[in-house]
Amino acid sequence: MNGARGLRVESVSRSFASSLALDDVSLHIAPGEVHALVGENGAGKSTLIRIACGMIDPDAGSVSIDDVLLRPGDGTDANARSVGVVHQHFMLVEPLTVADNVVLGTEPRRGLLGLVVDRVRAAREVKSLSERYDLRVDPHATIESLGVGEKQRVELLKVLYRGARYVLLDEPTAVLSPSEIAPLLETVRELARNGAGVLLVSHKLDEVLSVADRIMVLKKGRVVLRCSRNEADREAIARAVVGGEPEQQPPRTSVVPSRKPVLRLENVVAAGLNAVSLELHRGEVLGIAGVEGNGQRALARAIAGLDTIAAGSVALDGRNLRDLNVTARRSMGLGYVPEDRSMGGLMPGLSIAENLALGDPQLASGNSRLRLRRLREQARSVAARFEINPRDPDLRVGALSGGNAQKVLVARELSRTLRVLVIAQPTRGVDLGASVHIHRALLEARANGVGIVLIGSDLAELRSLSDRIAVMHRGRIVATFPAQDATDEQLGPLMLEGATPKEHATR
Amino acid sequence: MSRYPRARVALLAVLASAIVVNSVIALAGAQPADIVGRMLSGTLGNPYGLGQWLARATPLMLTGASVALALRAGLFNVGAEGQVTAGVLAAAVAGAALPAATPAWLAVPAAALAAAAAGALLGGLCGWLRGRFGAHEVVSTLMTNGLMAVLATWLYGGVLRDGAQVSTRPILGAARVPTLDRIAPLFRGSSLNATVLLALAIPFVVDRWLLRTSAGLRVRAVGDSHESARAVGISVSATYTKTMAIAGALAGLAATHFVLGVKGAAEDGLGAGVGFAGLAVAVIAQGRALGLVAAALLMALLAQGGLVVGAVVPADVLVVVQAVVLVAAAAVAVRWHAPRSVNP
Repeated sequence: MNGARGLRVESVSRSFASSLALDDVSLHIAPGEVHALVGENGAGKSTLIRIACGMIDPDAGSVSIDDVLLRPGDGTDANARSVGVVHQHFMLVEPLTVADNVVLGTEPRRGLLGLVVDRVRAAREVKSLSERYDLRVDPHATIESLGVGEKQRVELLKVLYRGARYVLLDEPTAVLSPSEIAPLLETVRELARNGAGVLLVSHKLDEVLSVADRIMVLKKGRVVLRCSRNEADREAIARAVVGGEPEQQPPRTSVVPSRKPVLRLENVVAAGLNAVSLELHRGEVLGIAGVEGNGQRALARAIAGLDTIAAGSVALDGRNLRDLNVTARRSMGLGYVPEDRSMGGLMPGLSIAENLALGDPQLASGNSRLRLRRLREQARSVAARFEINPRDPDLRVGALSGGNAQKVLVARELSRTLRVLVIAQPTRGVDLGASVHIHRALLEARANGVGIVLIGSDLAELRSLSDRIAVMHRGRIVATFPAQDATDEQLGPLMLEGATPKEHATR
Repeated sequence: MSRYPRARVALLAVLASAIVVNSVIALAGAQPADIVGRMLSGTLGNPYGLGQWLARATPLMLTGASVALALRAGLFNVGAEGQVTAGVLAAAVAGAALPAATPAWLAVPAAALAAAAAGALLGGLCGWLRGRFGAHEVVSTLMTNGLMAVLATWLYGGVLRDGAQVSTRPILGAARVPTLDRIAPLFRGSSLNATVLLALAIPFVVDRWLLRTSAGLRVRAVGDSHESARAVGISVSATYTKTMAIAGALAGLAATHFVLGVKGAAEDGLGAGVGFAGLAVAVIAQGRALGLVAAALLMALLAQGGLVVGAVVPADVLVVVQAVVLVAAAAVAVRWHAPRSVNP
């Protein structure tokens, strides 16, 4: 350690369960500096923040604050308190006022033995603090009456009130409207001018380039790029964020494009979707790439019939699905695997056999006797085909590992006659073995003529499975490529900014 | 979990409740052994007591099954109380309105069906409100409880009043459910009637329906994850409405015991309390049919035993004793059925 002031994270590693979240990562934030941290979801950004403020301990490596080592388990000591964090999800007491929230835990006192909270002084102090940093918010307003931007300002005030010298902001602009972003970035600069060290996590390159003195890119828990503001290269950063290792393409039959698409979306408008059009042919895999939260979920739900669409049309085999409910769509051969298998996918308290049986749209209405023996037999054969372990059809799905549960979900959809499958994040949180099975099952379905819309954030996976790749940004499809042309260089800027570098320059 | 295996929890529960029950009774100035002995001999020790015990358990099995069914769909039916009241009203009105020539084979089902329908209407309304508008069923069912209580008091004091009587006009004789002393003269004098056979069967019928039919599977699917159920095409709101209607019908059927079996008429307060007791029965039963029967019998034992010793021990002490035993039973039941993980 060289004795310089600053928040220093030295070669920390940290794993959760069996996956490595951070691998030998170092970070140095100097006072008066804005340091940006960029990376995909799951790259390890939040873990790094939590380690830097002492919330969790690293498996290896160390954290020091102004040359004082943060000892493991020290999350609440005075040393750690000089690091303030604004989390993505606000931690505020809704019925209390702004001033109450800001001073909570460190209230100014008055009266005998300091038994009375001096709320007048609290409000005054909060007001002067908010004026100094131009964080406009009424100290007497209750939190529940505030908008998202104002709540965020309260979180910042909390951090400042506690005298934090290092401020860590976890994707602060993700929740803000465009008009609120500029003032926030100005506050970030003001903090740095006043001598604070700021860490700004963001997906948005414009913001990063406009405020950060230094930039660091994390990918799968490793630092893949570091640069200072003057040497920052927009394309290089985008490439580093999305780039993956070159992968081998499994051999495939090529699609014979049919004249009529099996699925066609025309100018679909819905919450989160902005005039999306696409065509999917029999035996084709259309990959949907994009930074999460750019309308992929809305797209899947609109096709599945879970969300109503405001305008446009969704047609399966030429038939408009507008007035068809989920059951009718499933009966026509539509399958759906959501991104989160426990929310909208499986029923963890029911058995494997029951979960598989519920894939049959005929069970969704009317009443009939369940042929339990047959359901168990079917479950056994499906479990054998998809290698679901253990193979007991009466076992609760909730007792299965993540990979086996995902196999149950994929098997449920693929074990009936499908025309189109919409599948999101097919191998998220799934071990390697199960991933291989799921990929094989998808390619098999494709070979049988099923059209597949594959929504994913793993570009390597998308490229290896897809025939074409479309990029979504802010609720629209901004480009579509043949999969082999979809390089990281092409996709990166589109995913992050919705435009290719060339378009960006002319815009 | 492994630190508290089933047997140890059961043992701890029995010991703890024995200690508390003993000390509470002793503090009240009575002999614990004497009191417990009287409670048991007064219920299990003679045919009349046995009959009264089973009679008390009858409506509890029905309201317990009602709450337990709603729980399978993820709904908390706090409204069994009001649904019983509605059933009692409907059974009394229908039973009295039947033409004098109606044969028993028609009169009994008609009156019972009226009771079930009234409960179903009330419960189904709350289920529909939940599915259609997201109005929470705990709030709406509680409100229907209040509504039914006031409505019943008003009706019994007014239009339904039979002259100078405190009760309604007696129902048709043919609509009466036979008391069991016809079959077993042993129970002579007790309130035990044929409704107990229905009440004993219903938890098992409901269980079978849940496990063996597609409608039952949908109820369990919605209760497990309504998001996932919706994604496979199940109508969550329709499932809520139907489940609450059936739950309401089961609670309403308790009127068969009270009106068609015991009283032959309705009066204010008839059946009061069995709806709320059904909540405890369902919690102790932990979703098992046999558990519903056992829990109802336990609750009834405590209530009937309390009556037996009521002259010797203050009522407050009995309430404490009942509460302690129920809490212990609930603790054992919850631990007994805790899911054992397969691969940790």
